[in-house]
Amino acid sequence: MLFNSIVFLLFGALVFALWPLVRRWRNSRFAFLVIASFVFYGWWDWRFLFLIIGSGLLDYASGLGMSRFSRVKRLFLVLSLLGNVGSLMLFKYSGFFAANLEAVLGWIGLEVELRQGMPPFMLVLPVGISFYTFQSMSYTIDIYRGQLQPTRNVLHFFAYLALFPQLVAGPIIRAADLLPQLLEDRRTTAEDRWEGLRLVVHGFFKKMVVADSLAFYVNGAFGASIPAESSLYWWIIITAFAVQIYCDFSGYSDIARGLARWLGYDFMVNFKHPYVAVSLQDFWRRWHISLSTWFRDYVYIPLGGSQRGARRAQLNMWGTMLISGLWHGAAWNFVIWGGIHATSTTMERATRWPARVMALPGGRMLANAIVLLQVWISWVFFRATSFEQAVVILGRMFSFEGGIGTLWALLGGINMINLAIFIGGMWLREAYFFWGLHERPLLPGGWGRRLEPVGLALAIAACVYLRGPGGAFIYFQF
Amino acid sequence: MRDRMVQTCLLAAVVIVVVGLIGPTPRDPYRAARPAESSFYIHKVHTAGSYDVVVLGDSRTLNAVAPAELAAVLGDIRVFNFAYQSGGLNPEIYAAGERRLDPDSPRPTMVLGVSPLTLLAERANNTQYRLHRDKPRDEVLLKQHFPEVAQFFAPIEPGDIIGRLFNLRPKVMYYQEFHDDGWIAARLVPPDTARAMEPLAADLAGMKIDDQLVAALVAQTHQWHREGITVFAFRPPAQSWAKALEDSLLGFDEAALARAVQSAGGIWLEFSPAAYPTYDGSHLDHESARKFSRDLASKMARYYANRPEAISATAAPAAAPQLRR
Repeated sequence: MLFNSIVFLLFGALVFALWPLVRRWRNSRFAFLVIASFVFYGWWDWRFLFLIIGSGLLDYASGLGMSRFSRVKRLFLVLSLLGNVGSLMLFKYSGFFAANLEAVLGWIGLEVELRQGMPPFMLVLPVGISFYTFQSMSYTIDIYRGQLQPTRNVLHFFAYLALFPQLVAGPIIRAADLLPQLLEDRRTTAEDRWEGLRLVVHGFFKKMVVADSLAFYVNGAFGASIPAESSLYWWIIITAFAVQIYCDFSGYSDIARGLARWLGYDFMVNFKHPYVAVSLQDFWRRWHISLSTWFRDYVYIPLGGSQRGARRAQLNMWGTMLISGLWHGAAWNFVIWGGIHATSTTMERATRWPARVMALPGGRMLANAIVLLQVWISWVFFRATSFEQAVVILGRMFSFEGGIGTLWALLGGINMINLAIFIGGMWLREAYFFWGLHERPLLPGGWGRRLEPVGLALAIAACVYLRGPGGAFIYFQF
Repeated sequence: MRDRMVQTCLLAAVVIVVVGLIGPTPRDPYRAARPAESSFYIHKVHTAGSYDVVVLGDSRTLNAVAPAELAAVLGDIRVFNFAYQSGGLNPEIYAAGERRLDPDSPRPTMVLGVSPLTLLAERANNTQYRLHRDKPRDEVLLKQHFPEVAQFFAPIEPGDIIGRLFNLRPKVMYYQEFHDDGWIAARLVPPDTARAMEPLAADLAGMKIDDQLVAALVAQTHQWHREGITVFAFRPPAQSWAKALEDSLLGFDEAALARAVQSAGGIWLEFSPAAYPTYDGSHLDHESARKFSRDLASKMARYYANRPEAISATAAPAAAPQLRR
């Protein structure tokens, strides 16, 4: 079920109407959340519910096993990791590995067709698998580390694992954060409900108005059989994609946080204006925070982090970045995307350029521009349909050919205005945070607060009438 | 605080109703037609109707065959245009088209608009068809059964609103009229018969007719013929430059394909492209389409009148031709 669908409106109305009736008693609360979450997920394809239930039961049992048989808790951890990584390998990466193995064998003269022999179910990616397997793994790893007590109530566990607002695209919530919240009968205050509305409306606006409108141009550009021959055009398209993916993903996170707030729960902030970052390190502290902290805590630090010398720290960072790239998709483009970020981070650590640049007059803006240039280049690989296409597009971007006339011919007046409004609007918003203007009230004398309902009402109307033609959330495919 | 939520929702409802009532329609007819276009395709893909004649093909056939004109010539007959933009002719669309045929029809007929582009592997995805087939159920229900509601909430582009202030209009206006029988009557003002030349040449570079799709077309024709379904096929009329471009770049051999279709039991129909003006070089404008449809129906009627019973329904088709020159 998509948040931006009519059926979700009906689903949400029913869930939030019934919630006050069921939330008082622990088991009815858990059961209600589990049923609602399974309906939400099963609406897409009910057969994959068995996958969530299967892998969830394995982790639930592993958690209990680790607690009861502490001497062999490593065995239970391995079992849990095998189950989660195994289902990811099976559904997400088997086609990718089979294709690469075919290619490698082909080079040494062995013609084999592995993919044709794969059963069809292995070629369908269950929505949200990367998110809920990571969430589930954090549960068993935290129990193994002694940082979390396992829950004995299977409904409690599944209410955590499958909670519908964040099930398919995060934020990836740690069990230590959510399990205790679920135990309480958390009544929502008027402030919670208002904050929930603000988050939900902001999220829908970012997704339906900005991201979906820009998706039309980005999809058209990347879908063309021959990439347009204009440098300016491609810089605009990549900027449009950068705004699109940010609004798409952070919009989803905002909606998830808002819905959770209406249920009485707090989800972590997943994005903190990443495009105002002044270094790559800063960028990763602001972008998809729940995933980057997951990789930090469960991959980078276990590998040794920065505690074993500078060279080992670089190696660990590279490993983490490449795995993070592969997490996003089973294709070399995503690995290259991770590699570009790793290269940039290595350069940043080696030269410490952000501190030097920031010391210059206007250095903060220059540092931000340097970060964005690196991020933009990496987005080309992230969005391109193939490595070859990414190379051609980068070639076009840096050819510096084709001026305004070519751009006008490619896009036309109304499309250029649309792009200017959506990209420019988002840029103004980010500049507002970049310059710290959000720390002061925008309007004097409490007018900002008084006019907020008007702003939100207009944003709701904009979601209805200024919605773009895009559809599903980009991160559903991961 | 609760009042703020209620205030917000009430105010939003008022704004939504007001904008729905007075919201501007885009000046560009192509943009203005988008909501209707979406409902049109959803109706087309999800129609449960049963027909005597089903037409398959790509955008050229979509624009060229007006079912009402066919019915006017052929008499009491139900015709549906099941062609799609960027449509390919392949087993998926044959099966989907066949499901629209009435099994009890006295003369079930498939009409195939075989532009060379329909036989490209790149068209096998049937993107337009699949896009609307796979739309969420709630959107399908809304647009199929409550198109007026969908129209009321039709989106507005901010670029269009601002473009009005500066009196921005596209230099070329593309008009589309959507018919319930699957036809899109289209025209370009002013028409430009060389308009498609450059994009077509760019799109076709490096592409070749897919022999497997040709073989599938011939095999399907034979199978339908055996099942008692009459199959007509034709190459949609296009400007001579488009024809020459496609033949040379794609290696399309129309004569060989016509022979193969005939040997499989189908009827290949010839049309003179010069008789049917196009708006962009490869798509018929609405007036041409009506004329073409009447001519197509006349040829079909002649066949129905003199049905050659001698053609064996079980004769094996000739081997699929290698169309690449």
